[in-house]
Amino acid sequence: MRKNLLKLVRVKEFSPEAQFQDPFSSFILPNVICSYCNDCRDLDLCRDSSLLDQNWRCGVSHCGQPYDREHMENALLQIVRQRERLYHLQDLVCLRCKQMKAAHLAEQCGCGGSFRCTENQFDFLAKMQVFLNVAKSQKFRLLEDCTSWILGVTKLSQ
Amino acid sequence: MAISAAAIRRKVQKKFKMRGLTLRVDSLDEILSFLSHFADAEEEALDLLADEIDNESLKSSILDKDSVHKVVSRLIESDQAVDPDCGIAGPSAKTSALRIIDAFLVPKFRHDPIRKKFYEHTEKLEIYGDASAKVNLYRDRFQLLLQSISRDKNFSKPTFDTGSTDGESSEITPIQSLVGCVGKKWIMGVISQLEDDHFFLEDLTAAVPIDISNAKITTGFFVENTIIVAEGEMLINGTFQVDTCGFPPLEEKETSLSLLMGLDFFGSGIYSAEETNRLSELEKNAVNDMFVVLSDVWLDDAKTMEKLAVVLNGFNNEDTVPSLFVFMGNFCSHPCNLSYKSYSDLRSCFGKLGETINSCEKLKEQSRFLFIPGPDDAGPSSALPKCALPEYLTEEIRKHVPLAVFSSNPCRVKFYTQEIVFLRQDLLYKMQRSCLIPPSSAETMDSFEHLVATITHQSHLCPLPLTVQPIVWNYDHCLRLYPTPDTIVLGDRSEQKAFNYTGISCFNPGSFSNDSSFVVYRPCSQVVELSSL
Repeated sequence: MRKNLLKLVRVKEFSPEAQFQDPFSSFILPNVICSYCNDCRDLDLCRDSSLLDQNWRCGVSHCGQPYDREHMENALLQIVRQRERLYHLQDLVCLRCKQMKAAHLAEQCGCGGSFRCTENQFDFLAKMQVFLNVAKSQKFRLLEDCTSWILGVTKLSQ
Repeated sequence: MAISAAAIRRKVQKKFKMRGLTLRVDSLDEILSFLSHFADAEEEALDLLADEIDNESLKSSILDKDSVHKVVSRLIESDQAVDPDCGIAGPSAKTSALRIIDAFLVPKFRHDPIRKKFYEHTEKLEIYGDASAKVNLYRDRFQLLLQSISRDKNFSKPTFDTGSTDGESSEITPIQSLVGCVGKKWIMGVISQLEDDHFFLEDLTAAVPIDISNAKITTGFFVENTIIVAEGEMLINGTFQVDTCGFPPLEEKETSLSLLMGLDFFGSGIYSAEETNRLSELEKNAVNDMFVVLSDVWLDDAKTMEKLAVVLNGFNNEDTVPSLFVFMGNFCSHPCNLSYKSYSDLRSCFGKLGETINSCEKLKEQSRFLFIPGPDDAGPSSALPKCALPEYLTEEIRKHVPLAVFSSNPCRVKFYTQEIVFLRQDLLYKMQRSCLIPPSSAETMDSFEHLVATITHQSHLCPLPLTVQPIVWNYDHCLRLYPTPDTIVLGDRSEQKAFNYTGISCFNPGSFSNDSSFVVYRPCSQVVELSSL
């Protein structure tokens, strides 16, 4: 069926466009602790149905205590900041020989190949979009301000 | 000359940002539609509009569509009613004294070594750039200093062949030509650690391992990533043994400017000769103008708030009030990390500062307030340049002080013709720790003086390894100090200092929250008054 569908949209079966790409639409926030019952669990912020509305509550059936919003927003913000920092610190890699770039000024690798990022900007921004979506749906305003800036989406024309 | 729609849009945003005003999408559209009436005279029309809006009593630093519309209608009416003998005034006679330039709006210029000219990079600059952006960060820095040193008489090619065989000239040799060379040579390169604990000098042609163990150095912090000029010789084992080394010579502002005619390196716009003269006169007469600069203002700390009230009320009671208050971060005693989450409290703290300012009648009416974020303040990034404080945090203070300006770190300010650069970063400590060689005590023992010498000769505010201080690759030009500015303000947690280096006035206001220190700066005379409570 895949072969037929691809034929319909005129994409070659083994071309890069035909490769499956995980849209990365979910994010797991690890080790969320309930201040009431001390339950500790990982939360899938996008796929977990109980988290889809604004009421983020402890999943333990007898507890149901709301999670500390400030704590959650800050945890997410720190993850965003850390990932953002890692982008600026990443090494460049040669496309041809896969060696890490050592010299600062060289435009090409010793083998003649050009360099690419270890994490490219599209993947990075796609991950950031997930955080922006969470921020908007949970009304985490500071997180929204920060992720909006990263994504170049500002409410004011800047 | 036809200017593209995107370029006009950027010009408009920049122009208003410099005057401390932020545009909404609908007000920007209103302005663009007004400018479309003046094809080929957009610049003049924009200047006129900006000046007229400056004269308006605005309710907020966020410019809404109605305020723009009011001014636009008035201008169009006067245009239609114009007397055929006078016509519309050209660029308005009244220009603001103070221009605040956000780092992200500074134009980017790159040097073309073949044409030996600077050209403006006008395409959109991505904050998360591709691999070539990172490579160009280093290359552009190098090219900048290379083109400058090529004019220095000490390092240029001798005009006549002196006949001496072993090259006594200090001409810079490309590193790739060092192979097989005998005798003393001068090279210029970036200090790079290409292998663990082994340092190299890298230029655009090649890299060579260096031995600096016996090198005689000049004043400054010789840190990995700085660009140095070294004299020495090639050893048989392929290492370049350095006898003496120093930083590239500092090019005087006038020399740079004469070569960069018409290029807006600072970001404040290009003025005609007569406009510059007029502003110069105004600057000379602005004897009473003063700026109050405070760094490390912890709004969540009760003692700091008390001290701030003393400072603000003190200035409010004087006959002449300061024209500008610059508040540099950090604005919270806790850095933005996993253990701090009370951002709503911090927002209220900003609000309280706003109330304090509001209670000072004269300051409220006559002073401007500029906020520059610190390295540990909440925000999306810890890289430089750092964007302005998030809107969420400043919402309350903006209600109390509508004309407060929230800018980037670093931030540029133009006072008439004087170019002032502000940076809030604990550079001193980082530089001292990252030094390869202990700084030379021949000329000075003062570490602040070493710091100033380093950044000015590097023509860069933060020449540290990127691992120590990350930089947004495409925006490295915002940290440049080329042409050399008139004044550099380095907010650092170390003690308050002032130092005039070859005419450049540099100062560190010190930590207000820790030491109660701040600075009163008089731009007219470039006098720095180190103050404290």
